[in-house]
Amino acid sequence: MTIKISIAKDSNAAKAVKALVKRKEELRKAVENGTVEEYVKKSDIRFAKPV
Amino acid sequence: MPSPYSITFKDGLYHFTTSQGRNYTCVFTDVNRFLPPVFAVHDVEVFMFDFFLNDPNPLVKKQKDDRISATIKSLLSDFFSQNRVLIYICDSLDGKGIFRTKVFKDWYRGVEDRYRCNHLEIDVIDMDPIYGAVIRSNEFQQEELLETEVIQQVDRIVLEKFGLAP
Repeated sequence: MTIKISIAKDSNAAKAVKALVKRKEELRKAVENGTVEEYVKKSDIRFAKPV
Repeated sequence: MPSPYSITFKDGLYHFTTSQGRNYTCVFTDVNRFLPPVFAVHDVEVFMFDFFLNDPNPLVKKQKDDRISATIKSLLSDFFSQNRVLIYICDSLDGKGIFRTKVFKDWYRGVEDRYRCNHLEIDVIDMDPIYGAVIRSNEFQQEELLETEVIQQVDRIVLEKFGLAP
């Protein structure tokens, strides 16, 4: 099943999506720059080893 | 099926390097502390999944390499257990969102008899479309919990986790 969501430009949901995309961009840059450890401390993100 | 590359784990990240020298990084982000305590009561674990390419020679054209998707598929297949849920979001910031969506859908086609999936298509005015999915095993028992506490509240979870974008 596909859930299709259209979000108004200035809604809280749009802010949430933009926040998520921004976080992915920051994580990608941290991976590329080898600064993941600093990024994790700064952003309070917890990575897991589930596999 | 092509053989997966060897994967190493360091500092919370999974890494593999292709025969053409491209470095891939995969990460599972633990989002359980942003979910209601009832998830822990039922031993349900929710993770977000990302993978990134770091190509030291991006101008050198590479041949198609089926072992890359085989490796990511292998990692994802090892992830799932009865109580685990995976959220996958494809962005298009680097222009490769469609590629990631294709890899994901290719993986899912091969395993759809084993996993349930809600595909997400999010359209925000002034942004490229964002594709994603919420995936769990067919043996997952907490469908109502997932629907009411995650799928219906995904915007709140993201806001609490990542804060407001400027």
